[in-house]
Parts: sequence; C-alpha cells; structure tokens
Amino acid sequence: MPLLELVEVKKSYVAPDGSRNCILNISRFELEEAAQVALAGRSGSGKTTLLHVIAGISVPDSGSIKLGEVEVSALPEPERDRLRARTIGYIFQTFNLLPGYSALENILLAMSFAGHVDSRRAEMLLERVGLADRMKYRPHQLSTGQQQRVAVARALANRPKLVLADEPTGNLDENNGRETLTLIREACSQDGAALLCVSHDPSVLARFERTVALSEINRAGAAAEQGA
Amino acid sequence: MSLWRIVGKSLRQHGLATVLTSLSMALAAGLLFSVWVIRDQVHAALTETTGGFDAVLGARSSKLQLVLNAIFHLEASPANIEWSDYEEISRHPSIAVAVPIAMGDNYRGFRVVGTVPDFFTRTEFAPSRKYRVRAGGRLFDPTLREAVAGSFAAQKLKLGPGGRLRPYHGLNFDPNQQQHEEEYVVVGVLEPSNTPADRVIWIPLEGVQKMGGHSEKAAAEVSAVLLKLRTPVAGRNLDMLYNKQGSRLTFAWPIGATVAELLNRFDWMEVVLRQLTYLIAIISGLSILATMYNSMSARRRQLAIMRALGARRMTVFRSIVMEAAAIGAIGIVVGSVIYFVITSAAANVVRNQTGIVLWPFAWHPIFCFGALGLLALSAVAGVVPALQAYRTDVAAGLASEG
Repeated sequence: MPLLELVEVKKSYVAPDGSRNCILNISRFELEEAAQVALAGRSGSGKTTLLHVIAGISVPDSGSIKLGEVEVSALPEPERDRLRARTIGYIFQTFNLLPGYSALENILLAMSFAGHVDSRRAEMLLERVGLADRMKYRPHQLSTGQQQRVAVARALANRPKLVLADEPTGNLDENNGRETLTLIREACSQDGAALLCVSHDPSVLARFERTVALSEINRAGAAAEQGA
Repeated sequence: MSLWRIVGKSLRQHGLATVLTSLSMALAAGLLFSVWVIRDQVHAALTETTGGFDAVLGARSSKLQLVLNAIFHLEASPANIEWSDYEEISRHPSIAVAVPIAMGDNYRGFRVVGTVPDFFTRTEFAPSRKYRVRAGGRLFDPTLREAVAGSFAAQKLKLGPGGRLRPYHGLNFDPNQQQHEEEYVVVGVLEPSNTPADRVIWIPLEGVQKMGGHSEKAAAEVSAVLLKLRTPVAGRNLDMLYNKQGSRLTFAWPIGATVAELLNRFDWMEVVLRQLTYLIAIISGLSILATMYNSMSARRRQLAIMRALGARRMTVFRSIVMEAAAIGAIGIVVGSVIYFVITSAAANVVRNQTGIVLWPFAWHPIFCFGALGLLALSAVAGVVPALQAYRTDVAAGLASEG
C-alpha cells in the first residue's frame, strides 16, 4: 500500500474577475514509503498548491488524498493540523524560521505542536545538520544555507512519515543548494521518511532517481501549459 | 514549548508595544487600587477615630467643627465654654469620663493642648489601648510647666525628655506671632497611637488657661469637654438637653456619624474619581486591542508558519488572548508599584495634616477583584485580534511578505 495516494484531486480558486480557475486536476499520484521523488513543474503550475492540499493546509474541491490509512481530505481542520504536525515535515523555499526563536527553539516549537517536546532529539538534529555550535543563534545570525539546514532539522523534528520540500534550494547558491539537497535526502533516508520535492531547477531534478513532471499528472496544469 | 513560552517570545519580540500598553494598564491599575484603598482607609480612619470618646461638648457651633477641632485638632475652635459647664456635665450621672481640653497656642505648627491627666489615664483611644509614655519619660505634673509630646510632633520637632519649648500664640504657626514667655520642659513622649493625639504637645490644662497674653476670662474657660458616656441612650438624652432645649452649647454625638456627614459631602468627588479610573481602564483595554490588532498584519506570516507547522487555530487564538492578558498582568504588577508610590505619598500628606496613618501594605479586596477585572478586560481586549489570527489563511499568509 502506498504511503501517499491522490485520486481525482481537483482544486480551483476564484480569480479577482470572479471566474473560477482550476489549478489542480490530478487523476492519480502515488508515493511509496521512504521513496524520494522529485516533482517538476514550472512556476505557477500548482506545485505549492499541491503540497498544501497534501499537507492539509488547503482542502481540495473534490477527490481523495490518503496518507497511509488516513483520508486527509475528509478530516476536520483540527485533525488535519494534528496530522500535519505529527506526520508531515515541511521545508519551504524561504526557510520560514520564526525570527524571535533560536535555531533550537524553532525545532522545539514544531515539536510542541505535535505534543511531544524532546530537547535531546532537537539538539541531535542540529548536530546532524552541522549546527551544533549554532543552537542558540537566531535566524538573522545565521547564513541562508544555515537557515535552510535548521529548516531541514525542524522538518524532521517529529519523525514524519513524509517530508514535503517546496523549492528547498530556490534561495540558495549552487554550492549551498547542492549540500542542502544532499542533507535533506540523507536525513530523510536515515529517518525512513518519504520525500516529495518540488522544483523547477533541472540540477535539483537531476539528483533524483524518480522525477515526475507535474504536467503529466495534473490535467489542469497541462491544459495551462498547452495554452501558454 | 508551552503556550506561555510562545506568549513570552511574542511579548519580547514586540517589546516596545508591550511596554507602552503595559504602562497604560499600569496607570489604570495604580489609580484603581489607590482610589479604593485611600478612600476606604481614610473613611475608616476618620469615622473610627474617636480618641476613645463618645461625644464632645463645646460652644454653640456645628457638630462637625466641634469634632474636627476637639478630636482631630483641625479647624478653629468655635469659642470657649465656662468651667462651670464642664463641672456640670462631669457630674451628670450619664457621664463616665469627662476630660476638659483648652487650646489656642502652637509650637512650630503643632498644637499645644491643655488637658488633665485623666486624658491619659482614664481613656482608651482604642479597645484595651491607653496612651502610654515611652520609656525614660513620664506624664506631666499638672502643677508644673511640663509637657508630654505626641510621637509624631516629637519626631518632627526633635523633642525628647529634657527638651524645652515656648508656645506661640494662635493655632497656626506664624513666626511673627507673639511667643509666650512661659517655657515648658518636655518630660515624656507618647508611644505612637496613630491618632491625631500624635500631632499634639500636651501640657497641663491650667497652663493654657493662664498662659501670658490670654484673657483673664480664659482662666475660667475650656475649649471643649471630651465625654465618655455610660450608655448609648445617654447620648440621645444629652442631645435633647443641649442641642434641642439649650442654645448656648453644642453636644456632638456620636463622633463617627458626625465625621461621616463630612465625608458624605465629598461623595461626588469619589464618584468622579471612580468613573475616571474606569475610563482609564477602558482606554487601556482599547489600547491593547488597537496595538495588537494593528500588529496582526505584520504577524500574519509568522502565524501562518506556526499553522503550517501544525499549530491549530485555537492554539493561535489562545496565544493572542493570553498575550493580551499577559500585557494586563505586567501592567497590574507595575501598577502595584505605582499604587505604593501614590499611597505612600498620600499617607505622608494625610499623616502630616491629620495624624491619621494610612497603611499602603494593608490588604484590600480591590487588589483581588480589581486585578481580576483588569486581567479579564485585557483578555477580552485580545479577543478581536485573536479572532483575526484565528481566521489567518495559511496559504495566503505563507505567500505574504515576511
């Protein structure tokens, strides 16, 4: 049984002129446990929206999203929040570390939302991403590469089954991007978490054994691309 | 990481807003506590301060003037009464103790009052508490030019046993006024009683009556007679005798009720002060609301990140309400300091003017109810911004500029 299964998922939004635009129309997509898959798509193709509906941040208009045994799209919002906190790790392009919190506290905060704070594990994660000597640093005291490494550690804080990475190297230079991607992949492998990484960067996509073009699974995106 | 820790982080992150809104709440708390405590303590002190007496007999005047003059040593003396009036009332079967007092002089702003030793030996200024002379001193000999100083007067004038003083004419100090030739030796200082007696220099009755410069008539007069009744019913009979049937003397009874009349005249001021305090509290609450509401758009991304990490809407809502309550709590703590400053200053003024002591550290229910009320007001003020946070669209928030 796949870890993640999307069937006939549709998501649209209302444009400022009142028209309804379909951004996602996915007939089927599956991700096996501990698998690492890159999802390729150009800017505006619905990559982030897809990650949002998988994470339960947004609700699809129709269709089924199953994470293990759980039908995510059928869950009430508080349950989706809990599922996201405990089962999903999220890595953003812009890191999204909380500015008032130290590196360690950013991880502890993510743990607190899952209801289980483990300071030792938080420290261990920071050690693993090479920031043992930066635990007390605030985000503005860290380089962009270091900030994204904290974000990687935070995504793994609650031993997630699935890590969603949204253009994780988009704000990093080539070297930092390469190192960070390696770190994400290794960390997910070590923790047994599946990784779904969306990117439009060919150098990122080339590092994955399995790459799926969003246009292949997203009929709405394909239509948009054809029209473009 | 507990919700309180998250709240603490946010308070530090928005330090300036926290400080400013807390200060406005502190002002409200300080004023609220001060107005209530000072009002109640002054009310209690004035209505319960009787010096151990039930009534005052004096020249025809208002009862209030008589009580303020004879008990609180404030106001001018209405006029003197005959010695025979004192003798007559002291022999009345309803009277347990009658103590004559005479006044008209001061020593550097502190009244010099003539009385008899019964004032110290036969009366209790509070239940089971008599005036006592500090160790090393004694009561004055009524036949000699000796004085006993109240504790506050002694402290301010630096008078102790062996000290000497020459009274000035008049109840208010004026260095240009005539200073009497008679010199009195201080033979004792009273232990603090926290009554107006602490502000008085006590000398033998005859000393005032026969002070040089006073009229010869004064030698056979007293300013007032302090009375302790055998039964409360006696007060009604004497009230009838002196106030209704007579027209020469005034019988002020009961003392507490007479002072309460004065306080009732200032009820309007108390109402104004209370309304003002409520208004300041409401404005403080509104300032918390406005400050937090305005900061919500800046916090939108941060709230969205928390939600993306798994924070529930109610967690975000609670954190904002708790933050508002925490601002209120900080304000209450700082307000307590403001309260102590205000009441300590007020206590100093009241003691200097009346001898009555206020106790800033004494417990008052307003500390509990007022603090809870302000805390609730602050939390309620946080509800509107919390609702804004509750409704944060995570996807839109993540897409917004940090």
